[in-house]
Amino acid sequence: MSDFLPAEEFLSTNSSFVDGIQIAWDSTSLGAAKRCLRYYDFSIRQGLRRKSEALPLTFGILFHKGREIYDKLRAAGADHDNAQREMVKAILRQTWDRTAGAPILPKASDGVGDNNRNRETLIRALIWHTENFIDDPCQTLILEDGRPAVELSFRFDVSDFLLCGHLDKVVTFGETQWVQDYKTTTTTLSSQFFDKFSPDNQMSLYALAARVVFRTHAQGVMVDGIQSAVGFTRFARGFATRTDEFLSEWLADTRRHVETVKLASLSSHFPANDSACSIYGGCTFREICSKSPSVRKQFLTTHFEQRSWDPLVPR
Amino acid sequence: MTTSPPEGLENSLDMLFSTDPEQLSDEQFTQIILAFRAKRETWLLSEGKPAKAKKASTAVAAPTQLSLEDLNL
Repeated sequence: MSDFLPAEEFLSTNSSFVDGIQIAWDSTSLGAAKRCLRYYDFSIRQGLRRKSEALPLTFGILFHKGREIYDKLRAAGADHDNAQREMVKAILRQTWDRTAGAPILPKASDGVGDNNRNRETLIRALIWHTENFIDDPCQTLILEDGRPAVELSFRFDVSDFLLCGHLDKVVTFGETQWVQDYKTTTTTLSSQFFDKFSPDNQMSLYALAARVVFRTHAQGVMVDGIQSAVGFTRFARGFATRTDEFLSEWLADTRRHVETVKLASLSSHFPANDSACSIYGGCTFREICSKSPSVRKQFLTTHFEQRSWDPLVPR
Repeated sequence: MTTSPPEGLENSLDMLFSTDPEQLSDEQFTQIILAFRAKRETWLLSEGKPAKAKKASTAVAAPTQLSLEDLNL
């Protein structure tokens, strides 16, 4: 595996690890650890990511960025047209490769690109979303310090480790408060789509952070689903409610999971959970784990790249 | 679901999307927005839903409004 750094060397530049032990956890790393310790070792400690996974991630990040720009401009007093134009301008610029003189996120052509997630469907999603929710009953919460509660980075100490992450937005909806989380997808926004967020590691962490760090009364997470298809973008919202009692249990479970990872890290033994290989739409490392251990590295270098995942790096 | 956007819209969008955004004017950014608003209204009608959002404006926004630089992002 000559292209990849060994985990010890790779982790030496990751501020969320001390002596190979993770001390700052976000929903991605926690989710990886809860799912399968070998998956955690591959994806978080070694930072291995399938090369083709970059597209959905980039599309989602850019959607978030666009909404952040729109929401902050509206909170600062800009009208809808003004905020929408600045959002489109910024995202078109961020999706243009000046060196190549061509856009990133191309449409499908010659085996490259994607017809559901490309530059045009991204801009369409942002414009349609801001049109659809122009008279949104959900209003961005203004925090005690006067900031709009949009793209909030958080970290808090739970005695022996840190929990951290980013909230898209906290909103008021009638008399209630909710964390709002954008989820871009190419699948249908059915009840099955929303059911998967209760229980869900990420939503529980966000609900806890909204209460502990930002002192809101968030009742849970409002999942703002964005379905990007070839000819349209569709939206639907669902609720993932969390009670205090539920979150206490989640935190106790999380402590135990983190302790388990610490023991695995100290022994450098990350056992596979082979009951989880087929869930989550099929594990990205299933093909690797199905090989004999001595030949896995050569398969990894062909299809994967190494990129650090550091929960302490703010967005 | 197929939609039928106004004639010439796709060509106009293709041209704007293949241009370096640094070379686009505010008016052209507004054209892009208006084109996607029109596509949305067409799609909503094809779904049997009324277009609930406000009518697309044809005016270019006044230059005194807020920009990204005002946000200190």
